[in-house]
Amino acid sequence: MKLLFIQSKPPHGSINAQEGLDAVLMGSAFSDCTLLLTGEGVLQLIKSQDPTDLGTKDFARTFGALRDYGVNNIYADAASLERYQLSAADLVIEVETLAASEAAALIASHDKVLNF
Amino acid sequence: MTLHTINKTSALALCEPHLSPGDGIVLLEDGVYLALALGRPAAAVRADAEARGLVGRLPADITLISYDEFVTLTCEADKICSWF
Repeated sequence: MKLLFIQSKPPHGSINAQEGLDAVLMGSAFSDCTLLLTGEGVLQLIKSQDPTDLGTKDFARTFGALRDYGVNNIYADAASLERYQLSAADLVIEVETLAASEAAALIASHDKVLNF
Repeated sequence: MTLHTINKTSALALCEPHLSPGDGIVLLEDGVYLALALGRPAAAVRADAEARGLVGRLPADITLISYDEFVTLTCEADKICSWF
């Protein structure tokens, strides 16, 4: 079973991003998991986030652990990165960038899609 | 075939780049407003369209569906992709 997790929300305005990332980690225990960040979801990858004063968890650090959990396929929409002027050096981890048509093909090639 | 569901107008921009040929779209909740000018075939949940006064204003390529038909569409699809 190939699972695709799609993250499309920014990191601190709602619980979606953190819940999604936790779900990827859980999914990785029993399935082949891929992560796609698209739209405002790419904002989750920005380096040096510090939510200390919000009183919430600094879950961006979890991205660094994904490969230890066997989640090796991590993608971001090239157009979304460009919209927010983000390049590889701005991101907490290395991701593979995808053109829109490639992102659509990614959905087609997985068994189930979970959106957060 | 992937069935994409859209439940608010702002989610269309997220969904559109991820559509493959042959995929289906279901508009629900505030997403039914997109049916007014979507420019492609889609299904819209009738209860949501009725509640918002949209029935009778929709283009011919929009199919109004019941909740039961919504369930049937989800069962027929290989997978569901929810945009919100």
